Amino acid sequence: MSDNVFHVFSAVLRKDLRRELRSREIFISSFLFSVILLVIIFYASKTSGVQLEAMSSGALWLCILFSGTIGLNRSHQSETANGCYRALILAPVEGGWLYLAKVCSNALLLIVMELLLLPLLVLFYHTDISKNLGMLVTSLALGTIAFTAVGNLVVVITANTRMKDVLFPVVQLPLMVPTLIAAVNATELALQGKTPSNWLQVLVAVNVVFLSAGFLLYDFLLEE
Amino acid sequence: MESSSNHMFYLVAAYTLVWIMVSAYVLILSKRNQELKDQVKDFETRLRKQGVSIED
Amino acid sequence: MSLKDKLLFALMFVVMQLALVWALAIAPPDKLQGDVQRIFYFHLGSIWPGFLAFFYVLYGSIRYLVSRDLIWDRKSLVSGEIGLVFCSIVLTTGPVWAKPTWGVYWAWDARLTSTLVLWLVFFFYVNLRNYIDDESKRPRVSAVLGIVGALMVPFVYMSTRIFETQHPKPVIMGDADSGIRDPNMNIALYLSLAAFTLLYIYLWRLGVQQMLTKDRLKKLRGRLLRLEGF
Repeated sequence: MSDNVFHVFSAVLRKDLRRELRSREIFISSFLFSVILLVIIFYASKTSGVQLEAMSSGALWLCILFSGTIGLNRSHQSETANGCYRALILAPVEGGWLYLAKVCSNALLLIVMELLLLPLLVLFYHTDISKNLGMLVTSLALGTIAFTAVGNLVVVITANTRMKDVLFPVVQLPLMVPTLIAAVNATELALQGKTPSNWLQVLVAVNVVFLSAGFLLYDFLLEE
Repeated sequence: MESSSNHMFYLVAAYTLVWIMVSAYVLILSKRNQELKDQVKDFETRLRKQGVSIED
Repeated sequence: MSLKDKLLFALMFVVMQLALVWALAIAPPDKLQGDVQRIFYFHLGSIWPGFLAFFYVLYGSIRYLVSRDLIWDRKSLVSGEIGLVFCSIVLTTGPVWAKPTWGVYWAWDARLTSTLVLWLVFFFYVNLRNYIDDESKRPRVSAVLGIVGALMVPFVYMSTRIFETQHPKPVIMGDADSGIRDPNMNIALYLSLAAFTLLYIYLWRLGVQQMLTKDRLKKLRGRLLRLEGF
C-alpha cells in the first residue's frame, strides 16, 4: 500500500513537472501575466498617492492569485484534454494522494514564479525584501500551498459545469478571501522585518483543514 | 448626529427590508408550489385519458 | 400541512410578535444611537440562523456523501437557500444601520466583508447545480462545494477577529463593555434570535417537503410515460 502511494505520488508529481519543463506554457504565460499586472497595479493606484513599498505585499499577492488561477485552470485542462483523469482514476491508490500530488506540483511551480517575482518587486516597487527573508519565504510558501489546496478542489468542482472557464475564478475567489487576508498581512509584516505569528497560524490552520478535506473529498469528485 | 425623525426613517427602512427578503423567499416557494400543482393537474388529465380512475 | 407544522407556525408567529414588540417598544433606546439602534435586534437575530443554516449545509453534505441518500442533498440545499435569505437580511439591514451611526452605508470593515464573502460562497453553493448538466453529478459536486464553503466560514471569522475593526464588538462572545446593559434589551435580543430560528426551521420544513414532493412527481412522470407507451 505505502509503496503504491509513493509510486503514484511521485509519478504524478514528476509528470506535471516534466511537462512544465518541456513546454513551459503555464509558467511563461503566468509569469508574463504577473509582470504586466505589476505594471498595471502601479498605474491604477498611482493617483491615490500610496507609497510604493506599502503596496508591494498586496501587489505580489494579486499577481499570485490571478496568475495562479490561470495556471490551475490550464493545468487542469491539460489533464482532461488528454484523458488523463480517466487514467488517474485507475491508479491503484485513493484519490486523495493524487490530490496531494497535484497540490504539490502546482504549489512548486507557483513558488518558483514568486521567487522570480521578488527581484522584480525590488526593481519596480523599491521593496526591501532582506529585513526578514526567512519569514517572507515562509509566508509566501504557506499562502501558496493554501491557495493551491483550495484551488485544486474548486477547479475539479467547477469542471463539472457548463461554463467552467467562467465559473472557476468566480467561485474560487470568494473562497480565497481569508487566505488572501492572512497571506497579505503576513507578507507585509515580514517585509517590515517582523514575525507575523498570528497570520501564520491562520495560514497553517487553513492548510491543515483544506489539505485534509481535499484528501478525503477528492475521491468523490473523480467518480464518473 | 442627525435629528431623530431622520433616524426613524432608517429604522423603518431596515424593518421593511427584513420582511421584503422573507416575503421574496416565500414567493419563490409558492411559485414552486404552483408549478407542482400544475404538474399534478397535468398528470391527472393524462391518467384519465389512459382510462385510469384517480378517485379513491 | 401537518399538525406539527401548524403548531410550529403558531409558535413562530407569537414569538415574532413578541420580538417585534420588545425590540420596537419595550426595550429602551440606546443612549448614544437612539431609536436606530433597534435595528440591531433583527440584524443580529438573522445572522445567527444564517450561520446555523450554513453549518447544517456542512452536516447535510457530509451525510449525503456518506449515505448517498438524496434526502440529505435536498435538506442541505433548502438550508443553503434559507441561509442565503438571512444573509441577505444581514447585508441589507447592516448598511441601513451604518448610515446614521457611521455616516456611510458601507465601510470596508472585516465583518462586513466576511458576511459578503459568506453570501457569495453560499450563492454559488445554491446555484452551481443549475450549471451541471449531468443530473447524477449534481448532488455530489454540490455537496463537496458545500463542505468546502462551510469549512471556510470559521476562517473568515478568524481573519476578521485578528483584523482591526470598527464594527461593534460581538455582543455574545465579545467583551463585557460591548453595549447591552438593560435587561429588556437582552430580552428583545433573545426573542428575535428565537423568532428567526423558528422562522428558519419552519421555512426549512416547508422547503424540504416541497423538494421531496417534486422528486416524487418526477418518479410518477416516468411511470406515466411508460403507461402512455413511450
